[in-house]
Amino acid sequence: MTTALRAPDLVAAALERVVGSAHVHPLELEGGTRVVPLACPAGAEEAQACVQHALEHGLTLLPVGMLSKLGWARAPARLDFAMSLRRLRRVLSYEPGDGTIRVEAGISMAELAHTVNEGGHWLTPDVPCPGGATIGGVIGAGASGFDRLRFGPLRHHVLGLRVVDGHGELTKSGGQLVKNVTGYDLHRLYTGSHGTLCAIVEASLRLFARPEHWVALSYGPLPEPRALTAARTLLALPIRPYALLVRDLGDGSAELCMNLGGREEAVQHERALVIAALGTPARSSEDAHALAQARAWRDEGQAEGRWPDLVLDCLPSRVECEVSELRRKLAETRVDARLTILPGLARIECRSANGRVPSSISSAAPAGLDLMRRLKSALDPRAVFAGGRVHADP
Amino acid sequence: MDRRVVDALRAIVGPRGLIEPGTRALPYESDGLAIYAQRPELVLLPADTAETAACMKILHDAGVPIVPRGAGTGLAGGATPVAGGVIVGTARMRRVLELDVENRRARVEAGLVNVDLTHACKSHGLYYAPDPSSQQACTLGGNVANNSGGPHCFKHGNTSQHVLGLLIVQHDGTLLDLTAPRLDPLGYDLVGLFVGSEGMFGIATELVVRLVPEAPVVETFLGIFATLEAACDSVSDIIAARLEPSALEILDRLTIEAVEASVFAAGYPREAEAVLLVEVEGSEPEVAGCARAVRAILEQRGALSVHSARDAAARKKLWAGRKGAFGAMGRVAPDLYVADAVVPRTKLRELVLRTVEIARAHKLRLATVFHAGDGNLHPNICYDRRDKDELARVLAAGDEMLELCVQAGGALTGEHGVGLEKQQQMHYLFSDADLRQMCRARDAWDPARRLNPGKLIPVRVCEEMRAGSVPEGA
Ligand SMILES: Cc1cc2nc3c(=O)[nH]c(=O)nc-3n(C[C@H](O)[C@H](O)[C@H](O)COP(=O)(O)OP(=O)(O)OC[C@H]3O[C@@H](n4cnc5c(N)ncnc54)[C@H](O)[C@@H]3O)c2cc1C
Repeated sequence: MTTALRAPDLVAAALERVVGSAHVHPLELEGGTRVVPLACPAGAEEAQACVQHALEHGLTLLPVGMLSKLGWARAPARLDFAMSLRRLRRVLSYEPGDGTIRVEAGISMAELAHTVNEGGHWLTPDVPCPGGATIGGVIGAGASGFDRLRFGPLRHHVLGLRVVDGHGELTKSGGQLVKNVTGYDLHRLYTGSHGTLCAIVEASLRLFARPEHWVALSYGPLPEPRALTAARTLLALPIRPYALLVRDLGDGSAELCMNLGGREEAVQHERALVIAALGTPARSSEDAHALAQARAWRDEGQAEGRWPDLVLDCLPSRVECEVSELRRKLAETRVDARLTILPGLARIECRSANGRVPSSISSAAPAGLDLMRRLKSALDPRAVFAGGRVHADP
Repeated sequence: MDRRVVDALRAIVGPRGLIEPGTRALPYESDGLAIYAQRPELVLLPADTAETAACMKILHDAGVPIVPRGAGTGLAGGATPVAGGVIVGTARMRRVLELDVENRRARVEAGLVNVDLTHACKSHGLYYAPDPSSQQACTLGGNVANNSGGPHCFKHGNTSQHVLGLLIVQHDGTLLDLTAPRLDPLGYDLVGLFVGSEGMFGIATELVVRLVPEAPVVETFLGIFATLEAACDSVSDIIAARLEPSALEILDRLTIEAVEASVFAAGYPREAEAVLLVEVEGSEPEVAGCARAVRAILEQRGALSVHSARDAAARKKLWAGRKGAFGAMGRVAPDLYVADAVVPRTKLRELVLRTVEIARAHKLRLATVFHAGDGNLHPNICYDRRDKDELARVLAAGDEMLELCVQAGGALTGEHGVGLEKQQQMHYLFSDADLRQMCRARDAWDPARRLNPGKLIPVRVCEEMRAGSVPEGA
């Protein structure tokens, strides 16, 4: 393959023959320093044709949704075009009586949530800016929502996927069933693979009961260590919050926020337990206000879904130590950063305001890198999907 | 087998850890699916990860096929030896290495028996949620390999939702340590992919698992029904009403009769056509709300009676029949073919009845006991394997049932795995292209395909790939 044939306008012209000229646009990446064609196929077969075109011509592509999570992984080392699945928007099968749904990958999280809410269900993950994110993109990024404390990570609820694989074939794993161990769980591998292994065209998901009632409570401003101690007290209670976070208010103070949901009596019971343990909250809201409040806390803390500069996971018992250690390092290196602490998940997210967090406190290479490389080359031997996203390699 | 290899292995595991063909090796000739049996060349029982790794290195260099084995309770032939192969069992690796009560997790060896973990943490108000009916015998390593379920996985999820990390001995004896405490995988989800890989990706020697706090209130219901249909409909109604009990299990008439005639007798009325067990757990108001709704559904569906209990001893009694069901079925016939399929939960009634018809058409006796809440059917066929004609009918009926479930939107297995048993039926669900993709993933873990060969993926598909008759990129 010569460089000339990989020139963006030639690639764009070829893609136009596959998906139609109205569905190929220029896409600016990395602040406009790189422009590649973005092809938007109409369905799974057209998506497959795009991948096959790339295979035939030695091109590299990146599957995307609405691009909201592009910055959640490294920029691809090499890229000839991007392929957005956003035109694949159909609900293929929703059986409210079964509590599962199968959809095309490009449906927006907002539309998907709306559909299942109508059927009395709740869709996890509850992500920021749901109108601007597709389910395929969310799965590709392995993004769990603010409701993770209650339901666990997204990867537990992806029941099956249909993808265009690195050999240009439409293949599936799993199915639309809440329990199923037939074959390897390749969908677990694809979830969080950031488009490096396949293009997701369909997903089946497990649904939960939509909460009848919501309560949001917050305590603070408190000194950060006290907010963390209070969080620890809460986590020992027999309650199952949707979310629990310690928001950084700056100046060493923090706010402990939580969101409870479920059947009304159960929620009021949990609320009473919280108040008995921590006293009257500084702020409290119910129902739709409570859900909106919880989402606002999340969105503000997560800078509208911006991927943190640093994510620290630790054992729950270590959260307080890790926070103080991180604070010390940030002070030493004079990095102005905001922390979002999720004590129930034992995760600390750090977003800096004046530059990146120094690499001395960033995370190390993953275990199993060799195996990841072998998986990448077995499943995508011609590197048709842009690599280098999840780590320097695969 | 080459004596030098055997001697080198003996030097690692010692005399206790090595069983040569003979009477002591007999129990290793099959797993719980006794219709497939094969003599192993050797059985190795290493004492820890280091011994396992050293053995795997020698077997790798000698090019010997390996079948990992836990307790051998699998029901799909997953741990059945392969010709010319060695069994590497975890029976001597049974320690709880770390019980971290504060962080609600445990690090254990893979050969630990499932229920022993709950025994180890019970005094701290914690338990290990996945509870296969074989939990008194099966190992956690076997549970990981099969992504096993159990009655309470309806609420808590199968094994994969409880495994936080794994230490894996890879095909060549190298270690893959995936036990660092991380909320999300750094890179690809290797743990998620390994769970359910049926012993074909490596040997898990240590596991880090999640422990769950005991619920403040638990209430168990036993609904007695005059028809199996009404019990199934009750389950579909409970799911459709989006109630979230922790377990939903059904036993049919033949199972009830067997249970009541056995030491597991639970006082189920023998004239009942089906019993439905429902367990609800949570806070007092959560349980009260859910219990009210469950009882109303059972009554609406015509339950002859509904019993309930909160006290631990009384609840245990209600569960006794379910827990002892498989043991009790030994009274009905010498052998039991435990079929395992999943169906959409809106189609429970229809498909359960169709399996009954299929068994009847093949003149077979069916005892159904199943994880109804998950749509996981276990039409158990009682038979005598010495009767060749009956055995042939059992296999034909099992196959028809699977095909039926797949056609209705279901799958081949909900928890037992594919193993040897369902390998040929993988085509009901997957295309050749799907299976090739699985084969590629396997090749990344085990390039020589020496780990549990001949299981899960139809051999033809992998062979064609190797022979190059399917071009890469096709
Ligand atoms: C009466 C009865 C009731 C049952 N009820 C249930 C149930 O409710 N739910 C359910 O899911 N299953 C059930 N089973 C099936 C069986 O108990 C499970 O599949 C169990 O997980 C097998 O565990 P094991 O230790 O016996 O594994 P084995 O049978 O020894 O092996 C099972 C598979 O795992 C592999 N393997 C074993 N250990 C390892 C390891 N350390 N690393 C890698 N691979 C390994 C083997 O190669 C094999 O493929 C039941 C079985 C019986 C006999």
